[in-house]
Amino acid sequence: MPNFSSQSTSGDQSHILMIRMDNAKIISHILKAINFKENSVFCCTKDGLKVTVEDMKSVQLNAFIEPVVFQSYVIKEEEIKFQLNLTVLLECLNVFGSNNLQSGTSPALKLYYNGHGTPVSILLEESGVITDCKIRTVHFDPVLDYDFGSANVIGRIIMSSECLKEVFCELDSTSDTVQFSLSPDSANFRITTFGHSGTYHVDIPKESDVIETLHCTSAVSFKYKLTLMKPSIKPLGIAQKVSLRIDDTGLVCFQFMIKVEDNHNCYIDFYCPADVDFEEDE
Amino acid sequence: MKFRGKMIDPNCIKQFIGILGCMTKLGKSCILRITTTDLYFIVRESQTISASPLIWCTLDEGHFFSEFGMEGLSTVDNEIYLEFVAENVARTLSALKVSGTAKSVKIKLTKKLSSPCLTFEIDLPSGSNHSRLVVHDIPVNLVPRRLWNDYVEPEVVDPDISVHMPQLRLMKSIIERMKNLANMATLHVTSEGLLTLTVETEAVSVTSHFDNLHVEKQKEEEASVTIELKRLSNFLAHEQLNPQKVVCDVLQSKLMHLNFLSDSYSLQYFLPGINDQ
Repeated sequence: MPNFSSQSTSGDQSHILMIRMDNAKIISHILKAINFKENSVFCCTKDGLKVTVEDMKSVQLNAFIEPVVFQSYVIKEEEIKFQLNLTVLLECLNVFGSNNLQSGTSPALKLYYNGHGTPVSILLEESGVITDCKIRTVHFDPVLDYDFGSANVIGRIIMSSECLKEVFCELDSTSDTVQFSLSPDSANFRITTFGHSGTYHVDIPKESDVIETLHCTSAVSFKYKLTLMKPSIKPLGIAQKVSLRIDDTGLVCFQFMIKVEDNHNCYIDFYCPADVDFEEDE
Repeated sequence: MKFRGKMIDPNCIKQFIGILGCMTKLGKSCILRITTTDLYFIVRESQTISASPLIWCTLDEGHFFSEFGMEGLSTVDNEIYLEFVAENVARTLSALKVSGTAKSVKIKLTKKLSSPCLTFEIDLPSGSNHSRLVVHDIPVNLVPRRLWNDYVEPEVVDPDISVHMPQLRLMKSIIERMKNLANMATLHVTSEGLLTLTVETEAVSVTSHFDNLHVEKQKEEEASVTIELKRLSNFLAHEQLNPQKVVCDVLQSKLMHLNFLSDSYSLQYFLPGINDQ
């Protein structure tokens, strides 16, 4: 029986990153939600894994998995960055079957990386069958660093993701844009579309059970391209809670909180800039 | 030509339906060959290219049918070859599937509206002790005698190595994923009972290891063959039988042969190897 650890190409000393998980499905559950493009940039630090998927220097999805979610997380450098094909990685992580988190099986995972120019090695084991994958890494393209300092945040909402998902799924697809409106005077968080059959408003009352907190320093109303919002649907579907923040430029940041095994949380954030053609409406 | 068979055992009915369903999902058309002792379901993807996969299922008539009678084309050629078109079978299959309580299922070769049909008569129990007979006619084509040679029973495989495959569920899933990464995979088996499946592309290389497999036969120390993942994946996706044993034979560079064995039937899948570019 091939020894799991003897699969390494060289001794453990040369691994600059080594992760072990008893259930690989957790990581594939999170990464699947951000896989709206093939290319992903991994940034690993002592605080955990950050995986970024970006589209055309505009929308960006980031998944954060803290070391506590793993059985073992060893990193020998301050920051390790590499780029790889996320779709290929997900095929490998799911090699033993459906990526349904609820199904009985749980493949064990060992991931390691030896540095620039080497492939990411993944060993998966289930019921005695071992699958050994080597995924080519390429030098990463720099990703946009959205600086979302709290100083610029005008509106902030924490709400149930189930409710927001229902709203998003029912948005009029004939509308090019979706508008978010918040103001200290209004009783609602308003989501508006402008489609062929008319203008639709969805009003979520601030007082309703689905909204946990809502803060708004001044009235804010921005439009976003509906197509750019699409990558937020998958993370919304797996999250328990979502926070929405809008800054003075109209940049919206969704942060999705996803509960995984042993009551740990993973986070995915989504950045989307406002649609520039729109003139702000006070 | 005549054919008439009656099944009364619910397990036999269920198994027969399972095999019929599986075979008709594996190809656009399926051949049923009836002899005095056995029934054969044959699916061959293409008649023209000799290197295409072949699926050959043998059923022991004695096990399935309580009553069985057939008269072939002639006394010399005492066999019947019928061709099913898969879609025609689907409706009958759904009816058969719910006939778990059927008292009996009769299968007959009939002529309806001057077309040959395979007729299924399903005898269902009904509320007040009466019987309810549901009849399905599946149109079939009679395969002319001159084409019978296209469906010759394949020679018994003399493999370089033959191993038991207990982890078929995992193998199915691995192949399904590998097919999304590459077109071809290399299957490698050793006389120590290690089976590996490997794909390699520019972006990724993936190898799955199945160890401690029971070796049935070994002529060589090891054998490997390169196969088309899509074909194998399609077959495994539709194979829904519950065999007692699955054996994998490899003939160096030439063939991967899967043999699904049960008391009453055997299903063989012949997948020719591809020459490496």
